[in-house]
Amino acid sequence: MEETVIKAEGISKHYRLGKPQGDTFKEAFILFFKSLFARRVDAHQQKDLWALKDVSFEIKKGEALGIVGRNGAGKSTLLKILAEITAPTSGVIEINGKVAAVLEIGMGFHPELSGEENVYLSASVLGMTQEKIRSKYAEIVAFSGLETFMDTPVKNYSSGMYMRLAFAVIAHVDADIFLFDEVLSVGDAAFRFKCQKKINDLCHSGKTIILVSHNLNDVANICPKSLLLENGCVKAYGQTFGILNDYMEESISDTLSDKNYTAYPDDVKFYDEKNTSSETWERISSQNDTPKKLPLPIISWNPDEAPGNELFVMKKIQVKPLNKKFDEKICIEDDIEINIEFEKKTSDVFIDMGIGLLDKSGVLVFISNSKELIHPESHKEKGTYISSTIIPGNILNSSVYSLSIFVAKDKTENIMNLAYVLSFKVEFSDEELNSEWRKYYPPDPGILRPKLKWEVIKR
Amino acid sequence: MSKKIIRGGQKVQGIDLKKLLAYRALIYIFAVRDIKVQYTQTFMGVLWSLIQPLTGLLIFTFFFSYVIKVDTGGIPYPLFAFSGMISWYFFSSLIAQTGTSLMQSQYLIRKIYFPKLILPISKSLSCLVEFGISLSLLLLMMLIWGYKPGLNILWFPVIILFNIITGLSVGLWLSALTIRYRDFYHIIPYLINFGIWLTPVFYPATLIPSKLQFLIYFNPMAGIVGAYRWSLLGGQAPSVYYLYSLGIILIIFITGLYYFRKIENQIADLV
Repeated sequence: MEETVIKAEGISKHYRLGKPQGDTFKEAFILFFKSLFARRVDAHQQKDLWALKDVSFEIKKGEALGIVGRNGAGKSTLLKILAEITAPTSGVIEINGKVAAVLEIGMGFHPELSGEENVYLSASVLGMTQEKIRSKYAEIVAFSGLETFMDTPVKNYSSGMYMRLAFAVIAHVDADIFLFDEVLSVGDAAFRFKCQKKINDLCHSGKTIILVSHNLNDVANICPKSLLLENGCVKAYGQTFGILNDYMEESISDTLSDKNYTAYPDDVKFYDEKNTSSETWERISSQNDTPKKLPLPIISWNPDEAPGNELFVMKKIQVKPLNKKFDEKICIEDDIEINIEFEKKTSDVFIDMGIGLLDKSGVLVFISNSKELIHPESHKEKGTYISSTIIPGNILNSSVYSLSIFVAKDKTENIMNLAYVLSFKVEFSDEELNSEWRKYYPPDPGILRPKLKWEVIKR
Repeated sequence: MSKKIIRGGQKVQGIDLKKLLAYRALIYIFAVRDIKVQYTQTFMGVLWSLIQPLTGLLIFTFFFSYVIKVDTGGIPYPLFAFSGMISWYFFSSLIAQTGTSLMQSQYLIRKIYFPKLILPISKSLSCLVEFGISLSLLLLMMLIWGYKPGLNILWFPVIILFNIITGLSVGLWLSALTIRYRDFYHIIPYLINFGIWLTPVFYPATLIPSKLQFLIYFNPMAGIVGAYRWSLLGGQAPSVYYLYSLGIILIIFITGLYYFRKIENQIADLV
């Protein structure tokens, strides 16, 4: 089982960007004559792009590797190189076994042909011999559940039927290594579930899987190990859960830093007094990249940019561990204090603040607000208010969470929603990181990590 | 277990016949697919590949035999013209099909690996089927007119082979060039539409003024059309000068193969 199936060393792929040289015959004709006189023709017009740079990894038999990364990170290029569709500019790959590259669902299907003809066509495109297809044909049809439609041209299929047939072929392809590119992101939930289950089965029967997907849940469900690509370089390689955290954290911090109000507070004094160095928020940086960090979970708005309306205006939102300094890391055990500071402009309404907590993939974990509070009449007055609440410790997991703010007027009317205003990270405490058991157990997955009481009784 | 090593920055060398052979099933599958696709949902199916040349033949027989009265050296005009037509149509469908084969299969080239040479090869196979249908029609016509082929018929397979090579060699160049320069895509219909009049398909080569005779030797199809008539219908053997054009074709064929192989690995990045 410990046999290495794919060994890639220093894979690079170079593309020329910009206007390609001599893309039409006329241009090539002119260029040819130019080249008689000049050594390098318009070299400056071209930009170089390294779609992949020095990517190395190794997969053992029966392993499933996820490849994640943002658009343009080089995921698909890597898969195309492994599938021999395009050649790497440099590097060596050693592949032991037959590869089936599924870069698209329904590959090789022809709409005019019948379901049966397309099974043969698609399976042979995926490298199956005619005898093999014949012997597995009944199985494929049964898996697709389309027994009565095999004589119908595929163009008359619904898209669901089309995908079912296509995946049935893929699932029965006889290969040792399967490359999947975003195949699981098509179809409805039931279809995806079936695909995932089948891919898991393939994996358990000793096949090697490489899965490229934007859907982080899919990657997490199937691949224990992942490769995070960024700008063609390997950013991280290892446990999927850890990598998915980093990946999401990074895209969140990138998205947030696009907006001006998410920068560090303009309140200079606030920062001069307390040290702004926030090492605790920094993730392990790779040599390929400048260290990325999530901004401190504080937003304070300039009065003229602050969200608000004629009734109120936001001032500051802060998330910090209770009874700790604002720039200390939030541990799982810590009570988490959330403060929402706002200016009330009128004296005739009550304003209530609420939060929505979202996990890293945008799933709403819970919402909570101050509606149940019975405000004293004085809370109608103008002035600065701070709504605060506490998320008890030992509920959230070690992960990145985002806050959305919901503002309500007079407890009934929701007057403003601020989606994803701020993100914060919950981390393992140092005690836990240094503890003996942590060395043997990977971080627990899941949105929450409540501390439950366990009991074992012997009967 | 099959072992494979992919190395970056490698130069392509030669033609991997072993690999082509390993993919022979795909050649066959693609050819069958093309034929099936062509005739599904058509009421008359394969009959279409008979109707097209026959209507052409009727029109040309009327003009060249009754209106202009071309001298065919005793051969009935329909037989004379049709023997040229099947050869030319074979050639033209070869260049049209193989010449666009890479463009048409872009979606596959981008998604799976296979030796790209199987695309023009499988196209040639499906063209061969259509050629077979028109050839049997010609044989039927020969039967009707009471023409029995002589010993020259023994040369016929060789002539067909050269017909294929001629079509493939032009098609290989065109398919590889259209990938980089879409201009060549538009050249194909011109080649077919004008080429037929520059080739003695509807008229005998002897009709060309002797001063310009030498020009015809540069047209490989002229020799092949002549050879078709000679091997099937008898008469004068084509001039030995046509061997020059065969030489030209072999050069085009070999360079075409070389060029095709040279850009094969870049195709996925270019389409």
